[in-house]
Amino acid sequence: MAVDRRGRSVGSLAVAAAGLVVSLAVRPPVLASQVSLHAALGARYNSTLVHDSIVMPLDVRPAIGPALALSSDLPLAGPWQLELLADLGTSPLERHDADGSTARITRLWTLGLAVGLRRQLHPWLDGRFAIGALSYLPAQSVGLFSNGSGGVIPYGSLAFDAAPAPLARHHLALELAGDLHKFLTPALRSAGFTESRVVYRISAGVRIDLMGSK
Amino acid sequence: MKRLLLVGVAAAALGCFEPLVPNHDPTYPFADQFGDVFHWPADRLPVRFYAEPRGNLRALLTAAVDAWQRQFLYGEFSGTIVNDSTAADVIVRWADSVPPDAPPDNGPPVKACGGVTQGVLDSSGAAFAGPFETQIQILTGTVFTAGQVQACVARTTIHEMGHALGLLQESPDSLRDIMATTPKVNQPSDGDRRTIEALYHTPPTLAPPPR
Repeated sequence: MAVDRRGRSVGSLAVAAAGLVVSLAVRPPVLASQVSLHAALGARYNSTLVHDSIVMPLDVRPAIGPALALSSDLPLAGPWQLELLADLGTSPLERHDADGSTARITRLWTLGLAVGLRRQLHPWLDGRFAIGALSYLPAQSVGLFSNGSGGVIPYGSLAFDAAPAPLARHHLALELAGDLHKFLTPALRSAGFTESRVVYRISAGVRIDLMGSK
Repeated sequence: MKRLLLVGVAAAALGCFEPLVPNHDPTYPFADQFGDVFHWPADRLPVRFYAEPRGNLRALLTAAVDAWQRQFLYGEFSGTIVNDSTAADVIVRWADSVPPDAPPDNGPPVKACGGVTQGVLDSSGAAFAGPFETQIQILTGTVFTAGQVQACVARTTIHEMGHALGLLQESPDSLRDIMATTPKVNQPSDGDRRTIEALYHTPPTLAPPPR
């Protein structure tokens, strides 16, 4: 029997995301008053997923695309807050050949769940680091994703939120975030790649306080 | 703040690590005897394949197109099966008799069938005039089981579609490559993959037939 490992990974992430939502929905009233919810919408740049050379050098990377993050902050001792984070992004996956031509491979989605710590660095600046699990979800099982996406990948992220007074009055902040993970798929391994590539993503956007923010 | 920045710098340093690129050198020539190179260009994807409706040829063709599609990592080729031969880029037919459908034999490969793929150049000699035509033939004279014939036509359909994708020569590796003159394997090999990868990253000298 064939086992769809990608499906299981995505299923696990979906269950975890559902768990996060349910836990927030059924939280005790005292805790509820301390929880804050946020959304961030921005544009994300992805570094190269694969660098290869077939006759000529080529790079494969997702185009710049939208990224949406939902997060929940819970106060801890001192200046720190615990942050639970769900992150969704999408963009076309493209091949860039050395002659300047570009070819689309498929549409790529990423879903990440992370837990991190946030604190105020200045009255107008917050910083946050987090670790979590990321899954690549290609729209079609083709090419480098033809044998699956490589399962759930650990990743680490860092973010800064700047909220100058005019934005803070409207519960808004400018967010700059970056994350790192390693990337290798079973099809790439079959083709002779033996080592994962370190991939970074940088996103810039707006963070909105939805509920219970300071 | 400093600690967070240090984490960022350390992470950026990790990003400088560059994995080794695997060997993609072709293992046999893909140009024809005149040195001409053909592959389906990106603006003609997906390539449209048609199988005549007799027997299980459509299933064989679907499996063959899928087998080749899986060899490509970066979206260089894709194919689709169409129901109308007049809208096809590649047409596949039985040469004469249709073999009975049966589970393919898993024993040693036997030459129970043959195949031929033809593309005719137009008057300029720089482009194909019409769709590629492939015929799969059941050999007579020696008695084979239905399973042996099915295993042979599956191998041969993949082999012929290799020609239709632009592998215009046979592989000299008769033991490992599906593009050997008489293929003995059931799927494209590592050598087949490397060769067709290189082909689809080489500028063609022949243009596809007009649509």
